[in-house]
Amino acid sequence: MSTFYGQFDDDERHAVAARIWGHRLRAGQHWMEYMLEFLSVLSGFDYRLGQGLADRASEHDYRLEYRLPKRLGLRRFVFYDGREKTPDARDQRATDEIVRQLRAHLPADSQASQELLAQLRSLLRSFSAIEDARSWYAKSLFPVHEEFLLWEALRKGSTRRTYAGDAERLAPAQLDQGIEFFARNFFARGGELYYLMISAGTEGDPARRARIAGRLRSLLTERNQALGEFARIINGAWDALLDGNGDPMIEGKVGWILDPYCPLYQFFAEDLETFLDNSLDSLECLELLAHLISFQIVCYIYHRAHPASNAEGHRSGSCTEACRPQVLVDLLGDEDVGVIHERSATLLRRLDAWQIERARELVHERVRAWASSQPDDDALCDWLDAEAARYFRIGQTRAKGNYRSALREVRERYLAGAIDRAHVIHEVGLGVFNALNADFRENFLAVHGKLGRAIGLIAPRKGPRPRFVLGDTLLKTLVMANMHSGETLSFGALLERLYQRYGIIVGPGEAHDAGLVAILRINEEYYARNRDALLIRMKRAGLVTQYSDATALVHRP
Amino acid sequence: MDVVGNPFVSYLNRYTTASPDHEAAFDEFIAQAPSPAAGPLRLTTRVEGFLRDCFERPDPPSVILTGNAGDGKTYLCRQVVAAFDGQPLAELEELGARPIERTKRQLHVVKDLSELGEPQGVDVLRRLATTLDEPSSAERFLIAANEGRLRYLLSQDKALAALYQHVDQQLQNGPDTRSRQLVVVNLTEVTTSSFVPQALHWMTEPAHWESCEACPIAARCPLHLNALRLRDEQIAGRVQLLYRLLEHLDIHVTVRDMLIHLAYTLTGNMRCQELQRREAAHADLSPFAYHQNVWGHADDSAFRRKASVVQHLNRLHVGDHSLFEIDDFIVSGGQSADERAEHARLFAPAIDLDNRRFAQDREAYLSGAADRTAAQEEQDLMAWLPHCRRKLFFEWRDEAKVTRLIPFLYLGLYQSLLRDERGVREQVLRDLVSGLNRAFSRLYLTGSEYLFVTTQYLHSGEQPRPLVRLRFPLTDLWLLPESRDDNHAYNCERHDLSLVIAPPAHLRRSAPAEERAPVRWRIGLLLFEYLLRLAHGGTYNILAQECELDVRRLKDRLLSTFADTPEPGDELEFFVAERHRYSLRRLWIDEHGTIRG
Repeated sequence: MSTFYGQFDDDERHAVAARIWGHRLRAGQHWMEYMLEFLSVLSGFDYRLGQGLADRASEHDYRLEYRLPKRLGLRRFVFYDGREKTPDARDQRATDEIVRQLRAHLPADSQASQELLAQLRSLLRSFSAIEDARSWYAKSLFPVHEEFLLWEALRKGSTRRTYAGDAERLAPAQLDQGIEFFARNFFARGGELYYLMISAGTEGDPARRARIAGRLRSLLTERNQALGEFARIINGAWDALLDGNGDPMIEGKVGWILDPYCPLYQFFAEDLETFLDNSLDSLECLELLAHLISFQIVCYIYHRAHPASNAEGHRSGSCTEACRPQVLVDLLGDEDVGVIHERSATLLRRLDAWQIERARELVHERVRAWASSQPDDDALCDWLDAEAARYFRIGQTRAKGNYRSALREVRERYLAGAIDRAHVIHEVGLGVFNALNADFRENFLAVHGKLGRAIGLIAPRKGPRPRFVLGDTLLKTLVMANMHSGETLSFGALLERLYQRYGIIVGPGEAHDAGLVAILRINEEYYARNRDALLIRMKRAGLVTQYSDATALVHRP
Repeated sequence: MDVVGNPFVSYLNRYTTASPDHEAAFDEFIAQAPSPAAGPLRLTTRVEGFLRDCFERPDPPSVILTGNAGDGKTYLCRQVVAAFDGQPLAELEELGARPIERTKRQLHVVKDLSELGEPQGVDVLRRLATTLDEPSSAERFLIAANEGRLRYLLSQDKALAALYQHVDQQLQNGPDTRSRQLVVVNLTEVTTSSFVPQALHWMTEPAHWESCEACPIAARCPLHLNALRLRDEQIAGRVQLLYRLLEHLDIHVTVRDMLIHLAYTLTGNMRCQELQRREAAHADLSPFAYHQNVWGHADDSAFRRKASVVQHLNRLHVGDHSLFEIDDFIVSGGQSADERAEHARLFAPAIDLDNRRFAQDREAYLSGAADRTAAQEEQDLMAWLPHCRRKLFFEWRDEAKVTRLIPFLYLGLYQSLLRDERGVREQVLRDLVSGLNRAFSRLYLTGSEYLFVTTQYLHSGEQPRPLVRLRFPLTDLWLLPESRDDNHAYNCERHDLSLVIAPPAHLRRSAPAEERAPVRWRIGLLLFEYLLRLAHGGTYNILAQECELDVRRLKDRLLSTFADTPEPGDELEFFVAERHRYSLRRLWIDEHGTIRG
């Protein structure tokens, strides 16, 4: 049986994806938002990992909820402008009020102060991480400083109705009414999941926890302090206007993950710690961190999508070998007739199939378990129906309609004696799965592809026949996460490590280890050429030095 | 017909048929042939003298020689053993088995670390490391290795960490020649250009070419003419210039590759009989002039593949592009009387101009010929131009004019900086600052009073605003040409140009314990060219592949050495695009909390 880690409520219904991959990962979340959400949650827990778990509430100084400032003042100032997608008189007034309040912080000359504000605004705007044709409340800033962390907001009903009242007569606190923070369209709990993964991976290693949290804290609070100061002044202006009315903080609880003893989480924590021990410029560090987090989430998806994935394996640690995916990376492009391209695309498609297969298996396994606890044949159908409705979220109207009619048909045939118990169980399982399938495909299946494309793991970004690649930024990220500073590794040793850790296959060595040579049956020379292509790429990126005797050593930048 | 041949030509051709794939050491391969008239080649190198001195002493250090195949590691091992043993060595192969004894010292010789398997290699290094810890040990080591293999083996065992540091330090900063324990000599630092005059001198030694007197085509033989010309100091100097150029480009040429190349320059891999046959058939022998051989021949692709020097020199495309001054000189014959005399001297009919044919084609072009059309005349002469430009590169007295044939726009400037000529230094420094500003920020910034190190968020939906993390005024930067020739261990006749960047003012006020040293950044010719082209309006793609990484590394180094943590919390500088240029803006917060610009 799987164990849960986080705020798990047995009474709640969850999508089938959550039952395998935790609550939750969703395709609507932008790749940058995983990092944004993670850092916000961490900052909300005061830079402590391992908080937010329901069963630890009795510990001293423990936080069950993360608390963040709303920062609506900053948000409006930077993002609300004449080209806003969902203009609202209240937000317009609020923005005007902030600007008026900020005058207190600006020199007296109005011409100069206007120009200063414009400059400040455009400077802050240049750090917008996600624009994407969203409304102002859904846009985010790149977290150069803690004060830049903005949580997803939503003005309820803003796309459907326009505000008809008179904004001028409202007090500032009332202007904020109607904005809520848990729509979870964009900050869909992916970052919370990552927080839980790292927390699970550092259970029993408080020193590592302290190091990771400490580095992230200094990354967010000790760098770019001038920018943070400006953001603080702007927010302060809005808070002054609120004058103690309204609640300036957001409070939230984390989701949950399964199998917290899985060694994968420890690997993630190790990689994160190694990565953070760097002397990069803070902007570059954050960008690479976003790549690392997205990459690890993709690995997590593949790990649990593997046919051999089960709770006992994750607990005992045998999943490290058994659940390793085969990520054949194509570095040749379309030279050499695209042989590796083809095979890599096939393996990528297989991962989609595996995810669907896991979902299907889970549903069938659950239905069988329910059936075995209901020996009475007559009540079987209704019992299964009730259990499914309690356990899963049987989606929207059309899916629900089909589901209902499928169940009705099964019940009729069973009562007519046309099918036996085993068939019923099987048919109900199918019905349930079909009902959940659409939601699964739409909201979960696309996650790994979307993330992979954004970080340079899957190419092309838009276009047919996606396959695995390794972009330069991702390469640099992986090197930094797998080598300590000052360490030297031979090129072959690095490839070996990438295979052992993530299942990345480049050259003939790893292809043999994975048994891929026999399965794919392409000439081994293609793998060798693939490996050479990677060597050239890494040399160009300054990650590898090749000496005249062809010894290639990897350096950590 | 009499088949007369010069045995020295065959001897030289042995060089060109040798390839880097040969197992046997190069000098042994050459030594297998009968010695030529003036004796075999003996290059006097500083490193040989240094090693001999080391090992003739009663208390020699251990020595590690690193270098590429062909740098002379095996040759030097033999010389060292001869010095240590007091007698020349018969078989190098025997050395692996037992050490050499002399006056209570045992010398273990490893003539190629790569030949040993990984465990044996690590074992040898472990034993070396132990001798460093015990100064009274009687064991000494002489190890020849390739740097990559050496670093790899040293990183395989944690116990070798101290030795790794020691070796790395000497590889980066130069050999510790006074050490009694371990000297690491990196032969890839040796400037092979130092040996070009010696080698050419030996190859063109009159004694080697005496037997040409008996040859029927002696006066019309391109090889004989090559030997004559290359004897000339100016021409040999131009060949050396090419090698120096490669060193500026950080390309190391091994001694073997140099010998192969110079032999080919002389003979073009032609045999005496072949030349006699062609001459009898009235073939055009001008392609075998030394000034054509030196770049390799298009139809001898096998040689081109093997000879790295030829591959590098070819990329310079010397003589392929037209330069008005030079072409005008070739075609019109010069303006002043001196120039015309010079032209007459240079272009007198000779075998490298196919006797009279060049003069005839030129005459036809200038005055018209009865047997050709105008178009034909032009074509015939134009075909000569690349050939003549290359000839002038070596033979024209005015060196400044012919260096323009090398496609580096700023080579002349670079060379004058290396010679420490002060006149251009100020302007070049400004240009370098301007180039670096543009390279760091990827914007065409226009100032050169300060060097700005900027950082920016690249994925923004808006136009990025580079933030200034560090700024260095022009007075904190200077150019430092230095000679590396003070090395006792090996020939290193090289001048390097470095840009020195002093710490920013506020860091200079800190306590001596926290003092940071100025950053010194070496600028090779490629980087110099890249930055100056950028400063003068060029685009980012030229030389980007070769140079972007170095620029990036400098930026990272400056940030990690000089950027403050925690950073100042009250002011920001950044670049903003205005109508016609980029301007620097500043936002700061004063004591009262007011934002000012």
